Amino acid sequence: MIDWRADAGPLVTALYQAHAVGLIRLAVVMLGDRQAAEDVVQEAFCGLYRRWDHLEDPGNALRYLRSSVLNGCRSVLRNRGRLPFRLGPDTSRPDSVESAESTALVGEEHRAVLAALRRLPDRQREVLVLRFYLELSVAEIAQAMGISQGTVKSTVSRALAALGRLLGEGT
Amino acid sequence: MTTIEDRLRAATRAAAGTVATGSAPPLRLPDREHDRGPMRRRGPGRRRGPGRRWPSWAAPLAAAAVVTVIFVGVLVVTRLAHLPQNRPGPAGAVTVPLRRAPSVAGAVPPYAVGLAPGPLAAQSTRAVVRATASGTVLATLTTPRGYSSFTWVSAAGDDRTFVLAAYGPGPAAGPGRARDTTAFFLLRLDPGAGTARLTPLPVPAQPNPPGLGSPISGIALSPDGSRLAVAFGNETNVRSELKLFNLRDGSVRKWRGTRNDGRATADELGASPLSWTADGRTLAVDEWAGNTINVHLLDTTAAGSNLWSSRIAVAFADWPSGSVAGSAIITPDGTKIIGMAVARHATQIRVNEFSAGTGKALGTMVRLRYRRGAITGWPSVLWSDRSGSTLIVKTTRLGTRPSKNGDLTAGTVGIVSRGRFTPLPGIPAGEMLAW
Repeated sequence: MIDWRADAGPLVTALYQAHAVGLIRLAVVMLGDRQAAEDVVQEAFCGLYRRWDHLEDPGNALRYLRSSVLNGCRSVLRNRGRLPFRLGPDTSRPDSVESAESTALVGEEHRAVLAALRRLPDRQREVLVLRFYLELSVAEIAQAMGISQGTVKSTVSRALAALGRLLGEGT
Repeated sequence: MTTIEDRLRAATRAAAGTVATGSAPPLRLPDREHDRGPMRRRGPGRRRGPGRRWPSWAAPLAAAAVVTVIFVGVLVVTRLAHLPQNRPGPAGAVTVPLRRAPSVAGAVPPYAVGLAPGPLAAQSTRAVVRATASGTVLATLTTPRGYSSFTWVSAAGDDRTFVLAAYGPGPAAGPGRARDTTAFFLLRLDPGAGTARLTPLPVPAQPNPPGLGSPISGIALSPDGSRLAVAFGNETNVRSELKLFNLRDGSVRKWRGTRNDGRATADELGASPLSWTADGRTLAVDEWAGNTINVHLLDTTAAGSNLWSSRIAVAFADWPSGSVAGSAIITPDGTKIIGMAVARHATQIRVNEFSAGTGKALGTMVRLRYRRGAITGWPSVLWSDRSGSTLIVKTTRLGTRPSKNGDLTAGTVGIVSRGRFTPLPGIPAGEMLAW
């Protein structure tokens, strides 16, 4: 039987091999910056390694790592500039380009959505990423963020409305 | 029609798809307390060979040494126990040489303090004192013992006194006390003596929720340096709360974000910087309530403990006319609210003025125009002179395509005065800055 408390190094390394890419992807979605994303994930695993003895259940390690990555992303965004801003509908904006050209502009479209996502307040941004990127359930998001399921639902609703406004959808 | 949810799924997966399977860099694990203990003893290099037995007289000598170490240790611990709780000991005080800064045109403060990103982007392991005019590094301080990173910086009104927040378990933490806290340190610049001195403040270290990092969303040192405002609530699972620490007598006053029905709210606090009026009486704080940003003016001398019952000076409701609201500070004379705005679907940054008395828009101090809109960072007002006629602001990079790593957020720090924006090219916009 593996003594999981004593064997922190191999176990954390195994966790890294299994989950590092997924967590880097999560951080890239949040930050849009590969290098910063790798740093955040590295720090999350180092934090887990340092606190391994305090982990009551190794089954919670992924949840701990995910929280650490979200927190690290918050710190990066905060260090980049503390002040979120909000962009409202602008009537001078030309109609969105449709169909034939949309394929060619798919990169631009994604960038616009991601830029808008990163302008949201921390909680709104995180709840959307957990819901629509990681496809977590409301209950799982509530557990991950330490908030009630009702708060998750209302935050998702508000965040989607805010995202729509940022993207000029007028929702 | 594609829904917003579908667009979000597609965009996040496209971004995630840029990280190829198997492309994670090697894991670099740090030293760990327990690795120096039982695991090493089990290692083959520590096995006792037949020719390496200790001489017979070594055992009593070792026992005597152990007793001496324990005695000295108990003595040290006993003395340390008489130090104030939650306050780093004298070992936390650091003095480094400081070069004198040249004066700056436009009457902006000569010294800037920034938190420089460390080897890991999320950590600032150094506080750097720079000359505002040139960006020349005048002094560098590393995080105090027991702390892994600096997280916040704020300046008093004299441009010589700063407060730094640092994150970590603290100097007294052992293997059984590894919970991270946020502690506060006073940075005092003395150009005459040529020193920059960092000392622990008599403010209790603030505990951090496990795994969630610091719940602090902003700090602001009062202009006279006597009080420190600390905002909590820009994180998950944390209620909005403001604590005001008196740095002279150690007392603390608290305000909570509470609605009319008495329930605490979790609306986000401190997305904009906290800012003081010069008399140290009024603190501007912002509240994100749904789609509205309310800039409250909290009279810190008045009775009451409800943060949101304070007067709302300006409400940026529903993001009017395609512009951006946020990043609002009060001028030291208390007459105006200055706010950064992004307009014309992200091709303009504007610095707007509002009356702190009536909330009415007074005008736009400067418009920065760009050919292409590509804003992902957050423009902000970093410093204001007494009347708000001269400012130091940070813009975000505009009119450019993403860099190789997709980071669009590098911007420019500069002075706004008389309708003009003058960059301060030596000041790195990627740092958290204070004047």
